Amino acid sequence: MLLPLLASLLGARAAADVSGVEALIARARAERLSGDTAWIRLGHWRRTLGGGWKSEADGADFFLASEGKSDPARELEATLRAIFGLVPLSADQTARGVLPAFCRFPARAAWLVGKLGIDPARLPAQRCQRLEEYWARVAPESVSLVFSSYYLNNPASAFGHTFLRIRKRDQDVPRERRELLDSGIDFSATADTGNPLLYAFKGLTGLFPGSFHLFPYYYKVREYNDYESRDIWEYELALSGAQLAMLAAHIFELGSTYFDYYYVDENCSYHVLTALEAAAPELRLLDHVRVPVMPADTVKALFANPGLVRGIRYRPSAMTQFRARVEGMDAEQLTVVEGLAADPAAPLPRGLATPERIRVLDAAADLIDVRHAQELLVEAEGPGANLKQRLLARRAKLLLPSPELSVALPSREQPHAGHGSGRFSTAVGYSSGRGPLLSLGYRLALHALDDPPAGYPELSQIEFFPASLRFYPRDQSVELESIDLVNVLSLHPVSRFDQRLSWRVRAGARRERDGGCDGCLVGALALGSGFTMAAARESVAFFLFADVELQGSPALRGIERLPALRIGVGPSGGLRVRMGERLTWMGAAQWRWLPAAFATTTWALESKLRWEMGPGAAVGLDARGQPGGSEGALQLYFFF
Amino acid sequence: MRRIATLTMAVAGLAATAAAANKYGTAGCGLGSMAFGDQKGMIQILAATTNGLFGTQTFGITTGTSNCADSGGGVASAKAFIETNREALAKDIARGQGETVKNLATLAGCSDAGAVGGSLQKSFSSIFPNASTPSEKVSESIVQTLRKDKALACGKLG
Repeated sequence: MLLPLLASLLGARAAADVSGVEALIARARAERLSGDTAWIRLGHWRRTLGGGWKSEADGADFFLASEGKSDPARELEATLRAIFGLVPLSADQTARGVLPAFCRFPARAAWLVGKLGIDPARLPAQRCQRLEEYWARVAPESVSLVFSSYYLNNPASAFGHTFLRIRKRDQDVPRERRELLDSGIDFSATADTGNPLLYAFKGLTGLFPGSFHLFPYYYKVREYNDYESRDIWEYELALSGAQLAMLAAHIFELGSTYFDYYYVDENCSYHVLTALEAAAPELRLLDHVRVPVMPADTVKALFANPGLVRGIRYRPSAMTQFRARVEGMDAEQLTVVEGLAADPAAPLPRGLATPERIRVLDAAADLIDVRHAQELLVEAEGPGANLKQRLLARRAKLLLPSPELSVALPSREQPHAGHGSGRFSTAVGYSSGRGPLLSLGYRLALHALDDPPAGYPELSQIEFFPASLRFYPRDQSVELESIDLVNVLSLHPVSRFDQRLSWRVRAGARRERDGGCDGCLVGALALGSGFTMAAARESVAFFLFADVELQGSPALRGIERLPALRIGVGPSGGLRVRMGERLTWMGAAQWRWLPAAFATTTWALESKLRWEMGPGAAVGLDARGQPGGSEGALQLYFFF
Repeated sequence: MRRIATLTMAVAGLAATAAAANKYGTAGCGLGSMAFGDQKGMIQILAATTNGLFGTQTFGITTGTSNCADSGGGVASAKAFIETNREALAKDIARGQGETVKNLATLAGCSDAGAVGGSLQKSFSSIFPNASTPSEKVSESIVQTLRKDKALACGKLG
């Protein structure tokens, strides 16, 4: 019903009816339209602590009334005047090329026209060329919320990313022939610094402006699937035609403004939801996410609205495609693929039939793409580009089409199926030095290697602010046991095709119990790198690292001249075994040489057993030993 | 330098989607223009915990262009598509089929994507004579190849 309405808004119209505007404003006041949820969402207003309103939109052009940012009612009245062409652009706006007010707010206009029953024929004749072009380009047929998977190798994407895909209507062409031609719309920050500390500071304090951008969808596919090798999940939403039109119209409105970008709350995933909520006021999405706004949580929020998700599509990454191509190959074929990726002219085994030749050449081309993804984009003459050129020329000469590669949707990896991003835990245990203990634990985000596997990458851990507090009944004392800023472990199993190193980083504070520290709280920055081996579809994974760690604490008996500090160097390793879907065991060991410190070595051993009781809950049995004592605990975990 | 094109990047700020594709030509649609800068590596881990939640663009794309964004079909949008998808398209052309070939066929207005794949595969070595062939040359050769093959009847290439 809004589609024809919007269409009529786009076209030429009869002369303006100015006299009626004040009457409409009076009616809007009487009907308290400015308090309507739909209006509040269209203006992105939020309640302030003082009980007033403040819009999250920060660009001045988003408001037509001078106090519009804090006054939804005034803004509504100004919008009504603007619809009738009564709000002129300022000289400054004209100079900046700002669209006339009438053209800038198609969703607001459509909503007001519908709500007040304004006859479109009464609106002034005015064409909005940009809006028409936009409308022709986007032509919404459906919309999907797209989740681009966790990508630990770029810290900026470690938690995943979400954006919108608006499928373009085109009855003449089958869908499979226009998969890449839709519009991708995301909200992102305009970062103006490469300095990581400044970046972090500005990001946390909202000093970067964030805005909505429109891309051809193929940009997103190339970026995430190919360049970063991330799987893409598309959640198609069951929006009505009217809701879709409102969404497209509202995104156009958002194009005229910016929002201060806060990484923790007002981030990309948050604003994608605010746009959806504005288009469909009956949706409740933000109620189901909390700070920090995790991209995967916003996907789960869709499912909290029954019937909203009407389909899930999976788009495999370059790495996933390569794995599918070599799946089922025998050792000889794998050797041929490996050889071709290193030397595209390598002779093929005699008697290899053409379909098999195609198969190994196609797999080798994917392998080159995966290995050289980043270099291929920036170095035309690089080794990757030359390998690829020679291999593809050889492949093309076979003059036969390859069979289509189909990769089944890996249902266990669906991001919405993952455990909650927050974790709360409670434990009862015994320490050799302190006797019985009770413990409370909390983790802000996101996933550890011993957590339930569904929905997360099998061999990645990213923990953000895990902390635990202990109570020792014997001493009647409460103590902070550990608090980390970040604890990341990225394991890459070594295979014949992938020799990447695994790595870890931890920054935080924990109590150490050894010759240099009798249970004192030690701040540490630890880095490590090494190899991982995995078997049985990664259900068994073993890793061996070389670590370096800097520790500091006033209570530490560290280096002779600098007792508050010590440096540790040494190996560490771990073994994780998944036994069925619910049971996991993980063991870890480390040894450190502490040069010039009071105690010159230390070590730690750890064992964790986890049983997933049901969605969102797990029970665990932990044991840990260090030179200065050992302890065991029964843990209960709740994910939320 | 073909892929490091100087880019007024390829994205249209929504309110600025005005210009038609051919107004700007197709220069500067390559993916290589993305500003990766020093946003990589473990040193970034601190920033990670803040910025990644958080989904910034690894692309560093901020505002864009409509020249690349158009997917309405025709020569300009086909060329933009070819230049941005070059790496994936080269692979699909060598294979004689694939998603990028199908979508290119749609932009070029060719009805039989399979035939397009076969025709481009045959011309692989003239389209991609060597690794350093500039993307604008690649897109021009592809358009010429499709035009020349009358049997393909690619109606949107004029």
